[in-house]
Amino acid sequence: MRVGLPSELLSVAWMPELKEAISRIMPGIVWVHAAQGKAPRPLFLEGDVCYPLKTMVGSCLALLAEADTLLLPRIVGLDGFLMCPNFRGLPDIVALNARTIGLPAATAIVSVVMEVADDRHIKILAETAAQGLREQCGPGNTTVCSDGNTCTATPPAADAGMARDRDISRSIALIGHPYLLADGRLNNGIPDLLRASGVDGILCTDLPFAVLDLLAREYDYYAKKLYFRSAREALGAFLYFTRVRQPAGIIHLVPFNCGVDALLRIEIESLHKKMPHAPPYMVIVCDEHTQHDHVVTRIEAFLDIVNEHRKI
Amino acid sequence: MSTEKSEIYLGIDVGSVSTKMVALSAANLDMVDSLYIRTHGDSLGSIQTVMHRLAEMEPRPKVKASATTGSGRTLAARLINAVMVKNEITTHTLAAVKIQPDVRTIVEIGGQDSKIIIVRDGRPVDFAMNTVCAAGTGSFLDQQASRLGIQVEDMSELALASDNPAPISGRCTVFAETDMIHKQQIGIPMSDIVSGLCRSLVRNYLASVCRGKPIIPPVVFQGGVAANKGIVREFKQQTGFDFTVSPYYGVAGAYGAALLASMVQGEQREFTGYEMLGRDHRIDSFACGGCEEACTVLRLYRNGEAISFWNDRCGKYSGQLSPPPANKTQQRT
Amino acid sequence: MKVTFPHLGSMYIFCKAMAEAAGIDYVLPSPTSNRTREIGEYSTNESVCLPLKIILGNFVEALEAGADTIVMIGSGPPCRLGLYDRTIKIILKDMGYDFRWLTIPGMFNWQALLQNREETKALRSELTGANIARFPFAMLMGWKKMMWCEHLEKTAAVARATAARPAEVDAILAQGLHAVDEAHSLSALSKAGRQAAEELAAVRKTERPALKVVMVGEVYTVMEPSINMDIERRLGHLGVIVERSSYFSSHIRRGSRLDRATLRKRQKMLDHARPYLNFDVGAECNVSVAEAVVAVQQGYDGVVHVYPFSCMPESNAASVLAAVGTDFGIPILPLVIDRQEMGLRIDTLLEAYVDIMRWRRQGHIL
Repeated sequence: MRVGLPSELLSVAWMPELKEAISRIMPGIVWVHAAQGKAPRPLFLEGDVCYPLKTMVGSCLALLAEADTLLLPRIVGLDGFLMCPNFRGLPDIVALNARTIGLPAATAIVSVVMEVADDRHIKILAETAAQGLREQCGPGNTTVCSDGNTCTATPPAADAGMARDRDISRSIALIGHPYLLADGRLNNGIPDLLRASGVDGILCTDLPFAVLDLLAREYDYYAKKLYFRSAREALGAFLYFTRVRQPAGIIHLVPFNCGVDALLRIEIESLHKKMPHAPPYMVIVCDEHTQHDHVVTRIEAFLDIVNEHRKI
Repeated sequence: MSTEKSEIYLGIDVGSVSTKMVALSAANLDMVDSLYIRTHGDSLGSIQTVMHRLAEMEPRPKVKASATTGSGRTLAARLINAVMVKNEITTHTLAAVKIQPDVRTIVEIGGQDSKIIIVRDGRPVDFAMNTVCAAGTGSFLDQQASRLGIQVEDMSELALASDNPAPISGRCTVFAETDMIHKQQIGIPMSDIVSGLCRSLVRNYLASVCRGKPIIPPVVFQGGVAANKGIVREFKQQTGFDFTVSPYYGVAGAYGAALLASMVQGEQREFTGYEMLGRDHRIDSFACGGCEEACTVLRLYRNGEAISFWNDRCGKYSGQLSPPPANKTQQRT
Repeated sequence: MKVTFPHLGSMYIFCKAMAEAAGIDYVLPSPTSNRTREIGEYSTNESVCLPLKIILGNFVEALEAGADTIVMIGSGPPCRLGLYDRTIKIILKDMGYDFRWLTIPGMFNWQALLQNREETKALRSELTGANIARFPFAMLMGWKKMMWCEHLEKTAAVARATAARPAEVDAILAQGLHAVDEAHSLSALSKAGRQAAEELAAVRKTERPALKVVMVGEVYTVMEPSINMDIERRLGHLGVIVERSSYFSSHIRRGSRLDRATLRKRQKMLDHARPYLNFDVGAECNVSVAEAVVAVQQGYDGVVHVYPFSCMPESNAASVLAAVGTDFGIPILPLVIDRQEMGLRIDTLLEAYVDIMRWRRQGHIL
C-alpha cells in the first residue's frame, strides 16, 4: 500500500515518531513523501494564506493523485500547545480541493486528530491511523508491497546531545517554524546560503523543546497557552540564544503573512532592543515571490554586521 | 431612410486611464464607430472629445439612447443625460455575451483594473476584481515597457518570440522592476524578459483576482491587455484553455454600454451630449454642512452657470431641479 | 483613574455607561481616522492585521488625551485576539507611555481570571467604596444600553434597505444611539430607545423589494464600521438588508460559557459547517461557513465575508466559502480588509455585487 505523507509535515514534532509507529504496525506500507507530478493549483484556496500552507495543500493534492491513500493527520496540539488553525483545517481544505484533480470530496484521506505529548499518545494514534488506513485500502492490500519500509527522506531527529555540547559562538542561529527551516523551497535557500558562505548554522529545532518551553515559561507565565507551539519554540529559542549560549548572530525566518509570527516579531524585536549584549538579530520574510538576489544581499550584509560585532 | 441610418445607440466608458466610445446602429446594432483616447486625468475634456468625434460624422448621428460606464460614469451621465448608468461588470458581460452567447467566464484585464466574471445563461452570477494591487493589471506592463524603452504594443510580438520566459518577481510591481533591470543587466534577451513579464502578470491575475473562481470555458478575453498575444499564450499555458479574444477587446465597456442603451424600454431621456460642443464646462466641489455626513458635493457649470449636482448622499442638491443658493447650503447646522 | 477602551461598533456606549454609572472618569477614543491608521502602521509590520493597528492607534490617541487605564477585550486561543494585549502593551511601553491595563476575559478560564486578578489589584486601590457599590447598577445600565443599541442597529439595517430615503434612517439611528448614550436612568433609556424604534418604523418605504444578505467573518471586522468600510450602511443604501450574528452581547454570552442556549447554538453551527469542515478550526471560521450554509437554506440572496488580511481562521473560511458559493450558486462577496484604501472602488464592487443578486432573483438583467 502506497501511503502519501507530505514531506513538509515530516519536520513537525512527533511526526517521524508517528510514521515509525505506523510502519511497525503495518510493515507493508510504502511511504511516498513527494509526488512525481507537478502540484496542481488548488481551486479553493484563499490567495493570501501563507506560502507553507499553499505548498502543503499542493503537495497533498499531488500525492492524492499518485498514492493509494493520503495520511494527513489533523495536528491540533503538540506537547500541550496548540497548533496554528491552518493545521487544524488542513485535511478539510485538501478534501475540498480534491475536485481540482477530479476526485470527489469524500475521497481517500485518512485524517486522525493529532494531539500528542508523549509516546503513549503516539502508540494510540498510530493504531487509530492504521485502522483508518486498513479501512481505506481494504485488508487484502496490506500485503501488496512486501519490500518493507522504503522510507524516503527523513529529517534528522533533534540532535539534543550534540547541540548542547557544540560551540556555537561562531554560528548563526536560525529561528523559525520547523517546516520552514527544513524546506529549501520555503526558506528561500537561506540555510544553504549560509553553508555556502562557510558559516555554521544552528537551528532552533536542534534544541530540545522542553528547554525552550521552560525558558519561555519563566519569562512570562501568561505566555503559556496563548502562543502556538512553534511561536513558543521561537520565543524560547530567542531567549536561549540571548541568555544561555550566544551565537554570532540570530536570523528569524518568518513566512509573509504568518499571523502569529507577525505578532511574535514585535515581541522579540522589542526584547532584543532591551538586551545591550545580545548578538545581532535580523528578520527575513520568506515567500514565493522573494528573489534569490535579494536574499543573497541581505545575508551578505548581515554577515558583515556579525563580523563587525564580534570585533567589538 | 437616411434618418434611420444615422440613428445610434451610444456607449461611453470613462476610465481613469482611457475613455472609450462606441456607436451602434439603432437599426441592427452593428458597430458604426468606436474611439479610444487617453483620459490624461481630464474626464470632462475626454467626453467633449467624444462629442466632437460624433459631431464630425456625416450625417451627424441622432443618439436614440446612451449609457455610461467606468469610474467617471456619473459625470458622463450628467453631461449627456444618459438613460442608464451601470458599472463595468454589467457592461463587460453584455459585450462578451454578444460576441459569444455561450460564454461562461470573462477575463478582463484593463489598464488599472482586472476582473473575472462568471456568466451563466447570459447573466453575470459572480465576479471578482483586483482590489488593492496593480500587479495583475495592464499598468504592470505599461510601467515595465517604459523602463525597457519599448512600446507596449511591441510587447506582443516580443513575447511570442521567446520560449524561455525569465522568472520575474510577482508580489509587487516595484520589485518586479528591480528584478527585470537586473536581468537586463546580466544580458538576458529582451524577448525572454518580456515573456517573463507576461508570465508574471498572468500568474498574479490567477492568484489574486481569480481566487476561488474557477475558470470554465468558453472564455472571452477583454480589456486592453487582450491585444498582447504573449499574454494569451500564457493563459493557455497556465490554465489549459484557449481564450477567445473579443474583437472589441479595447472598447468592451463602451460596447456593452451601447448595448445596454439599446435594451432600455419606455420613454427615453433626451440626449444632451451635443450641447457640450462650443460651451465652456467646469466642475468644482464643495463640502455640504447640512449634516455630519459632510458630503463632497460635485457641481457642474456650463458657461458659468451651475446646471447639475451629484455625489450628495441625501439628494439635497441632485434631487432638485434648481440648486439652493450657495451661501445657505454651506452653513453648519 | 481615567479609563479608555477600543472602538468596536457601539461597544463604546456600553463601556462609557459602565464608567459613568460607576463614577469613573473616562476618555472616549476619537473616531478612527487616517492618523489612527498611521500610528498603527508605523509601530508594527506588514503582516500585522488591520484591527490590531487600529486598536493600537485608538489607544495611543486616548493616552495622548489623558487616559491612564486601558480596558481591552481578550480572547481564548487559538484566536490571535488573545495576543493583542501582549503585543499592544509592548508597543505602547516601547513608545514610552505609562498606563495600566485591564483585560475583559474573552473566555472565563483560570488563566484569564488569574490575569484579571493581578491587573485589578492595582486598580482597586484607586476606587472608592462608592465606585464599587455602584458596579452592579453600572453593569446593568451598560448591558441594557448595549441591548438597545443592538436592537436599534438591527432595526435600522432593515429600515435602511426598505426606505425611500435611506439617509433618513441613518440620521434617526445616529440620533437614537446618541440619545441612548446620553440617558442616565433606566426609564430615560427605555424612552429614548422606544422613540428611536418608533421613528425607524415610521420611515417612508420604497416599492423596490429588498435583498437580504448575511455578513460573516472576523469579529472585529464585522462589528466596526471604520474597519469594514461601513459596508452595512453602503449595502443598506443599495437596498440590501444586512444581517449579522456578531454583536457584542453574543460574544460576551459565548465567552462566559454560562448561557446554555448560546453554547448549544454554537454546537449547532459546527454541525452546519460539516461536511466542509469536520473540526473546529478556531475563532469564527466554522461559524462563518455555517452561517453561509444556513443562509443558503433560508433563501438569502448572498453572503458577505469580511476579514482582515492575514487572519488565519478566516482565510480558511474564505477557501471554504468559495466552494460553498460554487456548490449552491449563491454569490459570495469576500472583502479582505488591509491597510490599502479602496476608495471609490468599493462602490463599484458593491454595486456590481448587488446587481448580480438582483438579477439572480429576477432571472434577467434590468
